[in-house]
Amino acid sequence: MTAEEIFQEVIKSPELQSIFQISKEDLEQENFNAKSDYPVVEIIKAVINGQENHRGKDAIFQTIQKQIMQL
Amino acid sequence: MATIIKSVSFQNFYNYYGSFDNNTYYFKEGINIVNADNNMGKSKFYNGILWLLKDTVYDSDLKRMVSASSSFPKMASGKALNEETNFDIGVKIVFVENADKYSVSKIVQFKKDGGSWKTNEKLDILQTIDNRDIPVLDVADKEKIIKKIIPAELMNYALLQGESMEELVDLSSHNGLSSTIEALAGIKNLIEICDISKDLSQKTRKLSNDKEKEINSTNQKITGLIQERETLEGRIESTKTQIEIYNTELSEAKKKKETLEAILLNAQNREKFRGVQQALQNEIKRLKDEKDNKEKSITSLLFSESSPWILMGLQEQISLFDNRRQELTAEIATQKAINNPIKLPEGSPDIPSLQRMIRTHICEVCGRPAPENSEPWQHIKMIMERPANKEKSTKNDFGSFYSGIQTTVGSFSLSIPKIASVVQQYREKIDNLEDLINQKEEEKETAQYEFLNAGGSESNSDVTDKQNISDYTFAEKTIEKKEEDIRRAEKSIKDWNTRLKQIEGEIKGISTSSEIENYRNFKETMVSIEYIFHNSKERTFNRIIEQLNTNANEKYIELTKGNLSAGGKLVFQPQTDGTVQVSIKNINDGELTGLGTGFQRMKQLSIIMAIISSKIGNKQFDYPFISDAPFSEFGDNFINNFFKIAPNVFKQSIIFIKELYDPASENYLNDLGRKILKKMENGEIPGTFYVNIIEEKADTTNLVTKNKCYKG
Repeated sequence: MTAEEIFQEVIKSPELQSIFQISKEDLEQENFNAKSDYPVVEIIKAVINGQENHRGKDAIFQTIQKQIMQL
Repeated sequence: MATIIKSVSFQNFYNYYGSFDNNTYYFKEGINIVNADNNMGKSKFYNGILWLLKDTVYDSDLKRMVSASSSFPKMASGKALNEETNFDIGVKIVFVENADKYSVSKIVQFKKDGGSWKTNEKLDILQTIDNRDIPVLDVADKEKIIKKIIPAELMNYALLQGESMEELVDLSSHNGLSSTIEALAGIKNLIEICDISKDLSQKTRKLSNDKEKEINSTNQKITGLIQERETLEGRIESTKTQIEIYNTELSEAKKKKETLEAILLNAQNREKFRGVQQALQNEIKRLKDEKDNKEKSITSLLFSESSPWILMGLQEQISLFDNRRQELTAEIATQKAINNPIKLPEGSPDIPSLQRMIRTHICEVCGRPAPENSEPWQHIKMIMERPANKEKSTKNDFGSFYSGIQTTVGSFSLSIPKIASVVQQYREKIDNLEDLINQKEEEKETAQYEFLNAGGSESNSDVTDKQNISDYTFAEKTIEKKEEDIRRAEKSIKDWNTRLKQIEGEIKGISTSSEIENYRNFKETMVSIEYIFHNSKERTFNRIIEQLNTNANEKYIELTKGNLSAGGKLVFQPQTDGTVQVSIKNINDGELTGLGTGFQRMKQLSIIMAIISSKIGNKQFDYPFISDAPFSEFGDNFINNFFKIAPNVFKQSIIFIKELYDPASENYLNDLGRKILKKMENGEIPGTFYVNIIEEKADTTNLVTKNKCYKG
């Protein structure tokens, strides 16, 4: 599966609606290559990209921590 | 885009004597058939590809794969070895991958040195760029280019040898199919993402805990709660790990149970009929012993007190004896009267007196002398001797003896007439025993027949059956236990999570700040993301399994279409530990056993085709599918079906077969071969058609294979 295919699969997760209160319509609009308004979607992308680019877990963690703490 | 083999050439390689130019096969997209009889180079061709891709060859003498370098002398053409002192053997594959064209040659130089051969192997790769062949020199680049033909992880599916096809998709292996799915459906990266997200959520959990501890270091209540939370989180983690172990054990037990289920019914039947046979054997022995004892006791019955068989038929003799005895009594009475005429009167001299008279020669009765041997002396002597003799003989008349016999025999007079019926009854008892023994022998034979029907044999020992039955029972118990263990562990996790929520609430109630809130949110977000990735992976995996299930059955139906016997359906079952088991079920969802090799191979082919066509984003196999003798157990129907559907699954396939060969036919093709060739010529089946021939008869060391291209 490509990174984009994985992203599309993850975006279908009902938990994004139930836990993070993102509407179905908004989720359908999400794009792997465009910036999302939802931080959780950006974190998901960061994890997928991190794996694809063979980044270490610590490096991925720091990226995400930075993203989160800036909010 | 895909890899397509454009040509394969050989040089002095096994039967393929001569240069590359003289031994070239040109292939294209679709099905490429190399049709040849036994020993005409099919497996040698396949070996050429194995050598180039894997550095191994199949040694038909050793019947196993060996490293190519250990087999160079065997790989060299016998004719070249006999006629030349300096020559090369080699295999060359020309292929295109996307827009790039490559030529890969593996060559071994043979040079005679005294009585032995010196060999030197080399690998030449040319890349064609702008119609110019550029040599590739870097070793790592060369390896990469070879992998473009068929990547190592796909070789198991792309290189098939008929005999080993049953083992191709290892259904019994715990990880076999799931790793196949991962490799072909490409969800390895998703699995890796799940691992990363799990690690990230642990990191945020630790970070958040540390931050809370740092900020609330003086508040004992909070530090105590944080401590408890950490303990519970640790317990949850270790229990989750334990659940994974339980799940693995559960899957193994289920797999074991499933494997044993197929043989259990027969094992149980064998065990049952083995027991029946043993019981019957014991019964037969007991009956035979009883019969033997009865027969042995006949001797004692001859002289039985109550019913002596020896007297059987002697009833007349009793009357006869009685008559004779009466006659004898009468006769004895008469004899007494006749033979006892001298009866001395009262007061007659006794024996001592008579003896004295004889001695003294004087008769004491009359007082007169009785000189020795005189008449009076003789009379005295006669008197003395007679009475004793006569009386004795008269008294022993056997009257009492015969009376005794009469009395004894008389007691049998009533039982003797019954002896015959007693003997008859006895005979009947023995006959009944005999019948019973025969009946039990027949029952034993039936039990033995049932035993054999259940797969019983000498080699199939009761120990194995008992072991299987015991293993099955053990597997069932393990399943029960592990399910209970999992339920208990999950219950504990649930309870601990409830307590964690309480702790979380308590901590939040006591200690709150925007900084702590940020860390808490971070942690919760990452925990949720871990959960989301995990569920996405599960969904994807389940979808692939469903797709595989559908596709494999679709292919299976297509491949077995037209066959009179139904081959059942393939069932893909995800296991609790994430692996997948595939089984063949009948229409009632029972395990289908006893399928022929053809069906088994079709099953494997179906799974391969399904795996290939289930690949996400790509419905065709991107690499050549190369198979040696895949149809050796297939009928015409299977072969036809394969040719029909293979082009839809494999962009290019190269098949070595003999099922289309007829040495007696002018073009070496049988009816099926001609039909398939016709379909190729009509364009119904895309591809090429070659037939290998031997122009000159020779033994294997001098054999030279040539090819005829019927459809290029």
